[in-house]
Amino acid sequence: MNDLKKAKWELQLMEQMETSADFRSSTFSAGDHQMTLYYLKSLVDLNETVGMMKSLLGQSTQAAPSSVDLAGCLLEGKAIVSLNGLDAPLIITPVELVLNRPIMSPQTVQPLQGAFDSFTENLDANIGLLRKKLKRKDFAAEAYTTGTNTHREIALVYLKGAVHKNVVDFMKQKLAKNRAADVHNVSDLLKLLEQPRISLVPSYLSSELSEETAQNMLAGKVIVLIDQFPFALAFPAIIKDLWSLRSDLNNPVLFRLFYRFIRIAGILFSIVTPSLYVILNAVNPELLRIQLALSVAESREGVPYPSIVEVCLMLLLFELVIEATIRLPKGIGPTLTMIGGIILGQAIVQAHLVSNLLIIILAASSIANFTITGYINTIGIRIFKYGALFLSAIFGIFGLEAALLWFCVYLAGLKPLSVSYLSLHLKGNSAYD
Amino acid sequence: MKRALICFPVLFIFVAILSGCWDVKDINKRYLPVVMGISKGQNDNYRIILQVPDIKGGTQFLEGESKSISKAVEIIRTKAEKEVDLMHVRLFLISQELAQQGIKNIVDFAMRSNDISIKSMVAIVSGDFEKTLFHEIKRTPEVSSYDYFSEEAGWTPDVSINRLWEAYRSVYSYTEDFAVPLVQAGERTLFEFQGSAIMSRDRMVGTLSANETLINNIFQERYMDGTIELSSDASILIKKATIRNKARWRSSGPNLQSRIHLVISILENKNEKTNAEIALEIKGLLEKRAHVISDKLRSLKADILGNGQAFRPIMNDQQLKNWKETWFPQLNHQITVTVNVRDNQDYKEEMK
Repeated sequence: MNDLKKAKWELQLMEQMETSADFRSSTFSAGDHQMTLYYLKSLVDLNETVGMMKSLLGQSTQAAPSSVDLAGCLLEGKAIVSLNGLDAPLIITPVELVLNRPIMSPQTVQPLQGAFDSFTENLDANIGLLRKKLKRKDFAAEAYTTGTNTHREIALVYLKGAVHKNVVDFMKQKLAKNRAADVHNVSDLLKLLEQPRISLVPSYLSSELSEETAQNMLAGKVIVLIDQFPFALAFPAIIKDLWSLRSDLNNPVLFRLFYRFIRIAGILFSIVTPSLYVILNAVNPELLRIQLALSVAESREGVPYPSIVEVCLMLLLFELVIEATIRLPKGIGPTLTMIGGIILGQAIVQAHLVSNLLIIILAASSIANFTITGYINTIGIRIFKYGALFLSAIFGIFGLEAALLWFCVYLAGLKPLSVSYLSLHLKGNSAYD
Repeated sequence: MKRALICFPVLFIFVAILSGCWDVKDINKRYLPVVMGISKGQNDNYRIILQVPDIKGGTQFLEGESKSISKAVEIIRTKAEKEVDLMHVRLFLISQELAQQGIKNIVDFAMRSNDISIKSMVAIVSGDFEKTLFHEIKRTPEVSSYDYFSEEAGWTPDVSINRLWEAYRSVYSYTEDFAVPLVQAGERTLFEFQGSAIMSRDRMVGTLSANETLINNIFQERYMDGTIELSSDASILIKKATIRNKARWRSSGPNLQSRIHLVISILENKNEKTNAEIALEIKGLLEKRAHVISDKLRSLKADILGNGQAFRPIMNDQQLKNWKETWFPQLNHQITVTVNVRDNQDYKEEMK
């Protein structure tokens, strides 16, 4: 083939794709036609495509030769055909290489009662999973392509009959308004939806489970699915999500109430216990019964620094253990936990660096913290614990009360996505019926 | 937003610095005395002994002596290597000698100082004060001296209890006096109960025996399962007692009718008496005992049964002020007891 024969757009395209190693052009003849196929090797299965060329050409679209978007088409996985004797490029949808993971069981959560299939990176597959779970006529899935530099597909999935109309309107409006913003991650998405940047509680629930997400839709939440992101984000989160999972509904009523009571107690415990330790040790020991006061004093005998320093030191160590073990491969994680357990549990007490009561307190606090549903929910509570701790160290029991009160007031003031955070349910007014 | 981010921490730091509790001491840097003993030292001084318990069962004693109680505590603080914190003081032991001179000053001090709990109890020590205070029993954590008076622990209805706020109230009340438990060092137990001290205003004027204290406790509606022995080889347990007072002011003076209703159960009944007989016997016994106490208190001008309370609505100011001096000794007090026997074992009672 002679380069001189190439059309102007072909030369332009080759220049644009100069830095892409996987850009290929291949020329072959099919029947009496001589044709050149431009494609990205990493996205297109060439053999299959050539085999099906005839039918693919039948569905092709013809683009204007001056169109600059040819490169964009290639990036989306399309192929461009140049037929000799035809000046304009033909855009075909070739057979794609399969770059998707199959639908598997969840990796980050362990569902106790419920379906085991979890989301994958493929947006269509994810919508399909939800559709299979909810065979309803009012199932709505709206797609948006966002971004200027990076195009990213975002799908808004909800049930018209269950959703809160204000929430959908709010989200649609923001998506339309900020469509040009690039969405690389969840944080970008939140910015696009104009959510507060700093917040103690997340305004969404993130779940890998399709079952849980479908149930969330039934409860009136709007699901945002991002292409190539295997988690469904359910908007908006409300206070109830701190202690209730939709899969609880697969349990008998009494059991469910029990779980939830335990989780609510867990929230309180995780906030209050470190603060109470400082209060009872340093600021207001008169709140203890004398017998308890004596044993507390005994356990702190020989500890060289004030209790607030002691607590901060241990809390920091615990946070380090949590942060260190969370992403480790399964083989090495238990080793670290064991070492951490021995160091924190035994040696530090024997060295009289902290009192053994504090170990109990902190273990109780962190165990209680993880009873809260959803890892993302636990972190805000973990952060707030420090606020409560410092206020308690300064003002005693009054400081703890003030901190808890402030937390309630703060939550009451939150209104992400036009729904008050302190709502106990999200059932819409079924305005769409 | 940016302004708030700067302003908030700055304001917070100011609040923390200006109003925080920066002088707090950790619990292992404090002595937590449980018992405060107050007796007379030399030259009319107060002698203070603090019992500081130890988790291992030992006790540390801290002593100080001065003209005023607060100065004596201050002297103890100076001597001690840790902060002396009075907030866990649960029991005030006052020597009998001091009690006979008046305890108003002690009660006042305890009420005024903010760190002493007004729920602490007050008792008077008869006999050797030092022996009682320094008395230690092996294998007993020394909080037991407080447990002796605690309703959740070792208290029985034969022992009177008196909390600090009750003592304070009675010292200043026109119409009520109070009984304070009287103890001394025991042989094998920590204390031996001697009865109750009768306080008139703030002075100890006499004593009630343990049996008489039970009657006082019935009048105060404060008992749990007190046992009474009858002469005829039977003993009963008082389950519940309610008291109704009816006060009238006649031309002859104040007149009070007290109706005590007892719910009892029979513990021992060697002579196989019927319930009705036992009820009659207990009624006679208690009425007699109560009248004796009532007469005794009137002669001592100490209204520890709180009879004056019933007359408060019908007295004028002058009568109220003169109650303890003038009117209480003239009181005509009738006491009737009704008895209900519960937990009957004998179902064929009627056939006997």
